[in-house]
Order: sequence, then C-alpha cells, then structure tokens
Amino acid sequence: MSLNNVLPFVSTLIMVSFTVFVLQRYAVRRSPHFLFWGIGLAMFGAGSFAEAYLAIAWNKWVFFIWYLFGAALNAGWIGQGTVYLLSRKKWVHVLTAILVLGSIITTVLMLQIMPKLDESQFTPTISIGEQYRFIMPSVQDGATVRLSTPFFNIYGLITLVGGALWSAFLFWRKRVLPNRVLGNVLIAAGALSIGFASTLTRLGYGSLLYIGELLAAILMFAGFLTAASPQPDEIPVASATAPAGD
Amino acid sequence: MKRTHIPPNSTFYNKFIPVILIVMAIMTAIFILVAAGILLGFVPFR
Repeated sequence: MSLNNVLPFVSTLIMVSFTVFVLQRYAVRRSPHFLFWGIGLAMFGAGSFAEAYLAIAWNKWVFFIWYLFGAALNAGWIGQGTVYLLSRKKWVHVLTAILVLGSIITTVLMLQIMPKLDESQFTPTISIGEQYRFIMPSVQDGATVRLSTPFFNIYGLITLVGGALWSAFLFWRKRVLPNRVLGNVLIAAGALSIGFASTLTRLGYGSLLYIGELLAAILMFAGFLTAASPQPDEIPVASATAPAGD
Repeated sequence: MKRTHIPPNSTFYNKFIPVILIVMAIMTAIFILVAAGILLGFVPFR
C-alpha cells in the first residue's frame, strides 16, 4: 500500500474528529454556525473517505459521494457556517435557502449522469482528482453538474477564507485575542491549501493532492482548536466580529 | 476589566501576521478570479 493510499484515510480520520468536535459544540450551544460547519466538515470527510476508497477500487456510488460532497458542496456549506457566525440578519437565511436549493439541484443533476459514467476509464493508480474528467461526460455531453461546482467553490472560498481573514484582521487591528488571530490565519491557510492542491492537480501534479488535503485538514482543525482555546483573562469582545471557535 | 492582548513587542504579530494576511487575501482573490474564469469560459475547463 503506497503513501497515496494512506493519506486520504488519515485526512478522513482528522475530518471525522473535527466534525464530531464541532457537532458537539452545536449540541451544547445550538448556534447555527456550528451546525453548518459540522455538515460541511462531514461532507469533506465523506469526500476524503471516498477518495481513499477510489485509490483502491471503483464503485460508482462512492464516486457519486466523492464528486457531490468532496468536489462540489462541502466548501459552500462550511462557508455558510462562517456567514452565520459573522451575521445573524435575515438575508443570511435567504442565502441558506439558495444553498439548500442549489445543493438539491446539484444532487439531482449528479444522479442524472450516473448512468453515463465511463468506469472503463478508471485507474486505481491515479488519484480520482486527476481522472474524474475522463470518467464523467463533458458539460456538452450532459454533465451540467460540472458547471455547478465553481459556484459552490467560489462561494465557499469567499465566505470561509474571506471570513477567517476578516475575523483575524479585526482582532489583530483591535490588538486582542491573539489565539483567535492565529486560529483564523490557520483556518484560512488550510482552506487555501485545498485550492492550491486542486489547482496543481489541474496542472498535472495530482500526486500533491492528497498531501494538500491532509495539510488542509490539519491546519483547519488546528486553527479551530487554537481559536476556541480559552485564554487566561479572556472576556467576550462584543464589538469585534466573532471568529471561528466562538 | 482585563483583556487578552497581542504582545506589543511581538515580531510575529506585528510583522508576520500582517504580511501573511495580505498574501492570503491576494491568493484568495487569484483563486476567485481563476474559478470565475472557469465559470465564464476564459480558463480552459478540462
């Protein structure tokens, strides 16, 4: 078993721990941002597990999970958690409705192309991120679902990375809560490392995808734990926007 | 009332953090532009 077979499983274990940690916080505090983060992280974990499985063998429903949760939806849902953290206004609920509707439509579109998957193109020695475009039909041939992926990823990037950077900046500017500054920087760095890994995969360096995802899982979990860690003299800073870990 | 403050003489928080925030903001903008380019057809979508 090669390193590329092991790394996605390690990422999955980290993401499962991260998901459980976040959902436990939701169970205690009932804040919607924990719920959305938990759902998004669970999607990320499911995508990582599917990727790990597809590094060993083919299964079209595992591919379904990988594409839908791992490639398309997870960033948007994690990002929506950050939106709930930064604002509790009514327009956030409108965004949630759009996200849920978009996710349902994407699921239906993905189900529609399942009979068109060309599993003869599958090679277990290549990461699924490098070969999925040969397994799925093109947009012109009916895989409209592929058009939906950039929407979720752009939204996730803006909200997750943008939200973390904005929170870090606010606390840095106020010169308070260094743990939250550092925690949000780590979360942003983790999310960006997925973007790097995906871009490098697109450029033909797919072997770096798994290490990029593992790095992302470690950085985001470390960032969350750092931001959430209590400080000796910490008090709530009402005027600052609450960052991850609140 | 006490607060936990960023140490005033910290090189890490005074020098490194602002630079890393700016760098990551630029990287985020680039990623968004690339993703938007894919969406709009300017960047080849394989």
